[in-house]
Amino acid sequence: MPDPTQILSPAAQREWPAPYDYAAFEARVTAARRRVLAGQRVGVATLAAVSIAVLSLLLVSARQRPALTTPALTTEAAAIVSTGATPGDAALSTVMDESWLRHLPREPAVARGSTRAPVGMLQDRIAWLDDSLSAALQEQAAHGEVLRLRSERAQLVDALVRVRYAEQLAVQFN
Amino acid sequence: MSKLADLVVGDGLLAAVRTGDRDAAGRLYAAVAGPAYTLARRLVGPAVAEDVLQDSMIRMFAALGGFRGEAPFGSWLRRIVVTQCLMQLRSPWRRARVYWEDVAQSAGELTDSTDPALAVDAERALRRLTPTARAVLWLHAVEGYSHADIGAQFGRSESFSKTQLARALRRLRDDPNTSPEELLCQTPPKS
Repeated sequence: MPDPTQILSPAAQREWPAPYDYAAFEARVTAARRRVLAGQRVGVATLAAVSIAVLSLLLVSARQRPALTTPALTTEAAAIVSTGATPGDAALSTVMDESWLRHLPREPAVARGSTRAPVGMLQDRIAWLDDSLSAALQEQAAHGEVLRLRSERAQLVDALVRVRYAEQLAVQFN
Repeated sequence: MSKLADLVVGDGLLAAVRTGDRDAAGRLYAAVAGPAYTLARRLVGPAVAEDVLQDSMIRMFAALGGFRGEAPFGSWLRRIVVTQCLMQLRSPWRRARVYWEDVAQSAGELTDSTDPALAVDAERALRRLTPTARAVLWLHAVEGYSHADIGAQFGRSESFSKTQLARALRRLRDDPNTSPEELLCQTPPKS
């Protein structure tokens, strides 16, 4: 085996200057903050879009099968969704939500085109929050900031469960 | 070890930055940005390193109030930079970005460059590795991280680090002259 330290020694001596100075750094930070604010607006819009999609699906499902109120397939999911609406134990609710989501088939993740975009946006936002949470925890960020990220994540996971639940209902009824 | 870990910053400068002195913040940035960018560039490539530098500097200024001087400032900052780099490598989407920018840069450097420094064997050797393998090799061989530390940073086991290092070394030994064309034909990571 080659000696890695010896191989990398010449490269380790090489230095690059910073690609931008402090003024440019400040400008980049300002632009990044604007993007975050825009992202938060997108998050709110996503929640609104998901709510509309869920309501539409539930409405369509109810019209097609008005007699069925508690489908057998979704008993567990219904319990979880109702749990999600209970305030006070968001962490437990999120764990249960994620447990239910894991039981859904991965492929195709979304059976209906109408919910594909909201689900994708939700999943992207949750992934972004996971990264932010990971960084916040590693760097021991303020407790309030961690709580805010966790709270937003719990809301989004709850929204994701609702849209997937509605999707399951629609698939079963059709 | 990289120059970032050896970096020494005066307590007076840090105290001035903590009070909100903008000039002091600029001086601190000027002192640390180059070494921080150099390390990030080694771990994630030039384009992604610009973003890593920005995020690392934001976190450095934000966390400076909590820096008690128990560890050298350079080591403390290096941990922030490495964490930011590995966040890029842990995410499948970001890893793919690192990979493709890496491949594009490799082909450009190896075929068009007139900079003699880029012809150094070590540079070529590094370019032949996947981003993850390169990060593990660099952290272990240059920065002096233990396998346990690297595994923890990646959120994986110690043996993950050992395996990545062994693969990297095998690749360096078995495949010393990969051409740019071969680099471009490598299978990208699954995202």
